[in-house]
Amino acid sequence: MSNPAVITLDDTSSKKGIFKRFTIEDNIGESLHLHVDNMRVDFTIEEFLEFSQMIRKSIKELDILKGYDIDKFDEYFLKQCADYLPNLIKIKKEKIKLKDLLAISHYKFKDLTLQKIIKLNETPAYKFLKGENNEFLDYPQFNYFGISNEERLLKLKESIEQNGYPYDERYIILFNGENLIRDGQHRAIVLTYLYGLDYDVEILRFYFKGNNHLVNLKKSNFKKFTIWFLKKVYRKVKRYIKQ
Amino acid sequence: MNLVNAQEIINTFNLLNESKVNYILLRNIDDKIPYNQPLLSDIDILVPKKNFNVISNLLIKASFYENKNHCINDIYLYGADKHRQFIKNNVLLDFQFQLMVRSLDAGQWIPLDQKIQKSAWENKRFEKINEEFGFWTLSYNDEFLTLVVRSIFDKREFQEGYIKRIEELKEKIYLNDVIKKMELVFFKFTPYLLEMIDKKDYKNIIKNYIQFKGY
Repeated sequence: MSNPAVITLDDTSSKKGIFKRFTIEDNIGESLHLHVDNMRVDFTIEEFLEFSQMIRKSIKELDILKGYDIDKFDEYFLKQCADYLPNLIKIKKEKIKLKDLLAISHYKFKDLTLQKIIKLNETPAYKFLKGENNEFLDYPQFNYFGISNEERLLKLKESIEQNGYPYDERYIILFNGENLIRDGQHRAIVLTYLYGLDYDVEILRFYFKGNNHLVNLKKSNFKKFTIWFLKKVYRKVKRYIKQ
Repeated sequence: MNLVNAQEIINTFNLLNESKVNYILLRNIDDKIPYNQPLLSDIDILVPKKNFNVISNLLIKASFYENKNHCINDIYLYGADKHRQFIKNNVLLDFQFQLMVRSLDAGQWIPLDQKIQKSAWENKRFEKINEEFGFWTLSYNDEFLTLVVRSIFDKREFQEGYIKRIEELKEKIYLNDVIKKMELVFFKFTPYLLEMIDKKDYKNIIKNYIQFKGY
């Protein structure tokens, strides 16, 4: 019998990866499961927290962030760029004008979410802070849970007003020669709102070898659209056959 | 509110009873069946899979037709079988072959533990409403369990009608048996869940369940 209350805490399974299956599941009331291919490890919550601390310590010892402390980076961001980290050469602190920064924005096509690159003053969050429109309130968020868009942004604004930027060494992050923000988009938007587009801001730039880290929105939007379209066709055909 | 013609429902259950087929009406919230059943509301019935052809033929002979698109996009895991729906004059019979719940993550259908399935059939009881209408249904213990399970997993809330029936059943259940079955679904959360039900703290059950850390 399976526990119906299984929450997938994370899933980095990949057909191309070393591990084809790598998932962490919370089986509420029962145990936490770590699935690595055909192996399953059961943890109590206490054991799992101890295990994750041990992994954190090991990552620090490996120094994959070239002298920078992993505790100063968002876990979701680190997960997103995990594939590129073996190619990391160095991390450099630099200055850049806010007007030169670019942001990834999500937009809807029917029930599909696609992405585009825009300037900071064109983002829904910036327009919301300026009181221009409320599109941001329903904007899809991917790395924050249990908090509304408005709450998240206003809390961040309050924090920057009180503690300044960067607080606790948490910087906006860019990759190689690109000015596209990879982490800290909301921080950059709040700074633009508070100090204007000509403001010089300190950022961390990750330098990687190779091109794996480059963003190709045309390719990813096309892939998403194709899968979405094929699924629609498949469902229609399935329904037609069953009738 | 527009209602289903009660006589149609009565005739349907009389047909099932007279044919002596095995079935269990899973719930009758607010005693809506047969006299106050709203239009478009399903009547949820558990049936054994192996003899379903008998029931299906019986219904088709009685001018029911099958809605082949019912639950077409739902996902069924761990051997759970797809729902089957039969319709006649606004009577919507929704058949399932196992007691099932929707999983908390992606809402796939998952069968409850085999011991609970077995108990449903072994302990079913006949509820006679009046001279013209009666039906086979779950034992009080199993009904209590399935209403709690459905509220948490399928409905994601404790609705008024469900709370009312759970409160009625609290007086009728054999607690030790319920605990054993609940542990097959809720594991270590079971004592906390029963305590909250005992205190009628229904509004915090789902939140506390999701945030439970005692394991």
